[in-house]
Amino acid sequence: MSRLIHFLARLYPRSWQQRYGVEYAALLEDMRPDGRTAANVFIGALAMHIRAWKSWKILAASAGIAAAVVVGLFVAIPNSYVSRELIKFEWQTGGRHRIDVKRLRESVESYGNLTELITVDGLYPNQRSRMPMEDVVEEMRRNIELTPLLSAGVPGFTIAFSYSDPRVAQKVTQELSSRFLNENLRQPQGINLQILDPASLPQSPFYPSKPVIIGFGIACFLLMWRV
Amino acid sequence: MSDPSLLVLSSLADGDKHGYAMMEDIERFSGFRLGPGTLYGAITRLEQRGWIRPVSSGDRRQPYTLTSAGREYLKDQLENLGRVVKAGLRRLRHV
Repeated sequence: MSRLIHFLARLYPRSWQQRYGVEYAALLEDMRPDGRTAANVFIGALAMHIRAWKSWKILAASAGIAAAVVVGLFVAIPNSYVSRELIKFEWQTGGRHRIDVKRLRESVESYGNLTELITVDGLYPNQRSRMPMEDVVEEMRRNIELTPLLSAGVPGFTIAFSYSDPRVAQKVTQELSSRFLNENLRQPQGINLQILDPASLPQSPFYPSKPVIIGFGIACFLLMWRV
Repeated sequence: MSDPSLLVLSSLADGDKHGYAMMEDIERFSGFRLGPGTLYGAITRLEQRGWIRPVSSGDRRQPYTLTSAGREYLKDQLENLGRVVKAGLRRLRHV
């Protein structure tokens, strides 16, 4: 350990060693050679190098590390694309029926329905190789969104599905939507459901959010630069 | 108070000391054990600012002394700290 500490002490900048090297070596000889001392000597050498840098070097290093963080996050976090389809209710004359969206949803998102979609469309290949089907189905349920259009002035709801491939996201959204429509027809008081806006083909990923990651990179840069 | 620069200046306030003596002294009066990298980071900074300077010694263990500017700076810092401590304790008593 003592040899490691003296090796680490030689990592200090040359000019610093010329001024303080002899007395620093004397201090290290007086100390108990342990891991904590070694770590402190290493961090001290690193800090002294950074202190010796000119401001443009600090700027360049901070920018380089921040850029690496941003690129790393974009590579590490898989893209997620969201496709949406808008379905409108049509009230039939002579009565006011309530559409039981919750019941429709439970039926469409049933284990059997989703297992079929996962198997036929070959969804979640990585998850299926390492997780039981119950967990894969649960993950798919989390990726399906059913949102009532309360504020848009249109009686209806949107079905959205998020997936790593935009075309698959669109296809599955269409399939989910057609299952909603078929399930509605089986209801005793089925209400006319009409596709107002067919499943979109997402052009850019919804997640990871580019502004958030770039903002994180800028925050990293500022933090490193100022510290 | 764990600012290494202030700890080193406080240690030198009662006389010249070399690095290891400062570490022992600081641990005794503050409870903080400075590592060698932290100690010499502070010594480098303080010497560059003119608040401490080395004194001649035949030993490899280099002693340092406070300059008059360093003594002035330490006095200001400790007075500020004293005001903060006093105000904090007074407010705690009123809660």
